[in-house]
Amino acid sequence: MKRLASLELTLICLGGLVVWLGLGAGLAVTPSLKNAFMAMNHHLVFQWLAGPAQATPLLMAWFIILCLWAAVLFLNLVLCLITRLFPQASRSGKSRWWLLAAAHVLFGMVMICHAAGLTLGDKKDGLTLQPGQTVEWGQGWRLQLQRVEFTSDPALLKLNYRQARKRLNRESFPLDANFAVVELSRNDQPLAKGRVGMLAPLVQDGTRVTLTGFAPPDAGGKIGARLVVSGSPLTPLFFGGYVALILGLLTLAAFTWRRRSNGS
Amino acid sequence: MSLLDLTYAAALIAHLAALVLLALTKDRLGQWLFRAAVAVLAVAFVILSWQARRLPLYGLWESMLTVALMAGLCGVFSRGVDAKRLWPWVAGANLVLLLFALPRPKVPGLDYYMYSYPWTVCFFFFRDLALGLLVYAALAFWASLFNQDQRQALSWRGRNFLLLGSAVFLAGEMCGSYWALNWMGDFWLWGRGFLLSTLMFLSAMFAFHLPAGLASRPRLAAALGALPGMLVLGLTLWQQVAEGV
Repeated sequence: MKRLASLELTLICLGGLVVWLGLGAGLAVTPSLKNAFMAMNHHLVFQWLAGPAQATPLLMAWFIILCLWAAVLFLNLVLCLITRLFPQASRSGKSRWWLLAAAHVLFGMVMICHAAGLTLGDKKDGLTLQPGQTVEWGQGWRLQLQRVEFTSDPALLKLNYRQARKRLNRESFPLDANFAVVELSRNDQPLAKGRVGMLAPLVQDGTRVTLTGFAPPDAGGKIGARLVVSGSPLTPLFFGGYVALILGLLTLAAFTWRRRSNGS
Repeated sequence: MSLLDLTYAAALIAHLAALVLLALTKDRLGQWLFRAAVAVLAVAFVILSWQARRLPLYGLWESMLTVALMAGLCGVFSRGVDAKRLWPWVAGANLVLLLFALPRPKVPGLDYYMYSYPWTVCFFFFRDLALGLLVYAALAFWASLFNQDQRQALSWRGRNFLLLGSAVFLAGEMCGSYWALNWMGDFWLWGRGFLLSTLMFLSAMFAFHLPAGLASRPRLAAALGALPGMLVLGLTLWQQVAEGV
């Protein structure tokens, strides 16, 4: 118990995670694994593990070991709170110790919400539709792209990433002027209907339809839309915890800014 | 020669002169020159923001200007004997940061359409601000090894700015997550950018979690305290040099 709550283990976990994340960052740009990494974004974690991950055992092993590092860090955090931080705060009664404990609680909360966001909810990524087209998928989901309004130059949609960074500017591609109109339903019950723009998703009861981009004109000259349907029940809590963690760290910094006379 | 070219050249010369004078212990003149150098950076920042119609965000010139200005402001507005000892370090670091931007034209960078989105702006801007704070923290940790009489004060200063920089870095990451949510439908994306961001934050946590045995070793503690600033700066430079922006 003492070892599991120790700072030595914290340091080992942090070091392990840093090395492992660095390795992952390297793998993510490896030509043979680049697409496999992208595929992780198309699914919730368990769907990915049960499906596409099977084709890339190296990536799956990396991911599982990453989760193990994070799980040990989380266990260390919880035990450290129980055996050291809370007792210390309670004994001393000083605000700096309570703030330190609170910052750790909030970090743990962000970790849990992050994990939940990757595993719970619904996600359907990589939907490319032409106006009038409908797509249906598991558990009665149905999305129809009713129309696309695109006032910018369609040639902009054929640029590669580097060219797009230069030519898709605020003048040539105004955010408000280009959008799609969609209708989302589940089991024939309408869930959401309306306009979805770049960086302006359609959100209804926690389910969001996001426009990730426009598809270049097809043979008939019609411009399509790339869409994602997603919803995670803990997203608001994740961001709430994030804000609280940042405020907690800033408060901790303010309360402990002056060094105590013993230098500790 | 544009106004931005002039302010850039003036900032370079002022930082170099301040560094030389502070190193020669001509403190009074050196300190005034250092303040002037930071003021010139502030002027360049305002001109660039005005010309770009947004805050400086990305690319070697825009990022390094913001980072140097932030580190400079931390130096100028910090009080105490230990803070003054850091001035030559900050002047030297700012000189190096500005030299990184030397090959780039001194004009506003890309006007990417995403830069009109407040969460995108906050992501990039907070990251540069955090980098400035982390660089200042790293300098304090390094300087603590060369100033025996101010070692504890400088280490504590490094700790404070490391904590502050970590909080600001997280603020940027949160804005980035919200941007990703509204752009790609998820607050987390598996890819190099998100993995490196998490790596950067976790590296900042090393210095706060040193067991007593390791914390009592000044060199190790200073190296781990300086690590996040060096790491984030290195990764930022590497990415921007690779992208040619």
